[in-house]
Amino acid sequence: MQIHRLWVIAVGDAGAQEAWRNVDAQVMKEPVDRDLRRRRLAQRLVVHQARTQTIFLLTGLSRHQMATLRRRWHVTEDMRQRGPPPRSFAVFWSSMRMRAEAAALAVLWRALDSMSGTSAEAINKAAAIEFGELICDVFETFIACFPLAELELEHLVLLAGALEQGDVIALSSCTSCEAAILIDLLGKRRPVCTNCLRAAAADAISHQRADGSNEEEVSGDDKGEGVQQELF
Amino acid sequence: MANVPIDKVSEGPTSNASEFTWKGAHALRRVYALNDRCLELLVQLARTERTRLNLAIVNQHRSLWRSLSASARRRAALTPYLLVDVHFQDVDWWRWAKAPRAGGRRGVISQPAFSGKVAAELMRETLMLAWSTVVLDRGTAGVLLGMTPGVSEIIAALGPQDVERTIARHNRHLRPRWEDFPAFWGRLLEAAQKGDEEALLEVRLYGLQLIGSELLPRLDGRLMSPLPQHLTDIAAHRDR
Repeated sequence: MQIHRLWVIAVGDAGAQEAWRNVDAQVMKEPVDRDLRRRRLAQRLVVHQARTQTIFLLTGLSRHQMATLRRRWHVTEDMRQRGPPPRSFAVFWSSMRMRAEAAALAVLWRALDSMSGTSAEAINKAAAIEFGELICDVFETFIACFPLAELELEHLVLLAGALEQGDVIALSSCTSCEAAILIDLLGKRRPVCTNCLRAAAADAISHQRADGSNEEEVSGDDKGEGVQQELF
Repeated sequence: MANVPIDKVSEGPTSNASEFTWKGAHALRRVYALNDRCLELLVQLARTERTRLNLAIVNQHRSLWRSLSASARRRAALTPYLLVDVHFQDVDWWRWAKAPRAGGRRGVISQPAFSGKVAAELMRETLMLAWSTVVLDRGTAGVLLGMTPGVSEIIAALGPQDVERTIARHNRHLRPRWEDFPAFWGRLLEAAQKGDEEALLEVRLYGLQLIGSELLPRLDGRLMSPLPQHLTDIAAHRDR
């Protein structure tokens, strides 16, 4: 429920966002340390190049407050990302690599969210700040473990919200090796991991070589589904 | 896109350059070091004259292991989870192992992966890493060691004598992770041998997907969704 509320605040429609923000205003009447947490979270989000809109939604700090803080922190214009945050899940299926990154990020989200030790009371009182802090924790874990990964913090915001809603994407198991994979609940992709796809591709190429046929036909362009549809 | 260097924005009055790095970063470096040690031992095992070894992952990729250079080994060691395992997902085993007079069938290991002094040393390093990591943060232990919260609780409560006893009695239970899955090890070694960073990233990501499939159902049965019927049908159709 809580995550759903945060998801609505982050990417829901305008009416729902307003309604939930009013609820948020009520539960966030807490002492000054909450404001310090908010600023600290904003600093983390700036470090991870979150857009102003995302920082606003997760911290409640206004554009003017953010502008003041950025000046104080000496954040230059070229350090910032512009435009709307990502809202399409297509990036998670755009290539084999992205599929693997998204699956690993989803595993980290689920594992760290589950083991964060947040009490039921805290969950009930939790607001965007707690969600934002958990997002930062998971993303910092991800980039420490995989420094060459390309997914960004705002992709995690998108992914986490969608996983909690569970009506478009979900975390499930590869039908071949049982590794955790991200599945598109509305799509028709075969639910296998990138490792098994690659292994199948290698097998297909070796068989075609043995048959003397053209391997160009199966090599694909490393776009997950492009390779997959040719192979099976 | 690379993130903003932390020192560029950490000039507030209470900031310092490393405050937004992951709290498990130190444990991660220790995991890398222990992985390297484990891989070194497996390379030594592969280079022995014995024709048949106890480990399928070494037997199946023996030429890869034998030709693994020190630099390739270090690349392979940079996987962000421990490449050895001591029943980190089996809370019943740990309950049994911590008992002062542990006995019975659980103690039976037909062929230990590592033997003698080497096994005890590696077990000591593994347990010390596990103990310090669970004390630091259970979530970090879950990710880096693939450890369930139940096992974390038991290990965190171990005293020095318990640790010593576990090392002495149960070091034969230390095994390479996914020893029944040589394909993972083959991909890891090949990518490390070639110095192919893209392939290394993919195999490291794949390892975390494997850890997820083992760990998440033990945390909460709802964390992994069953496949919807239409995807099950697609998988069955493609497999035919």
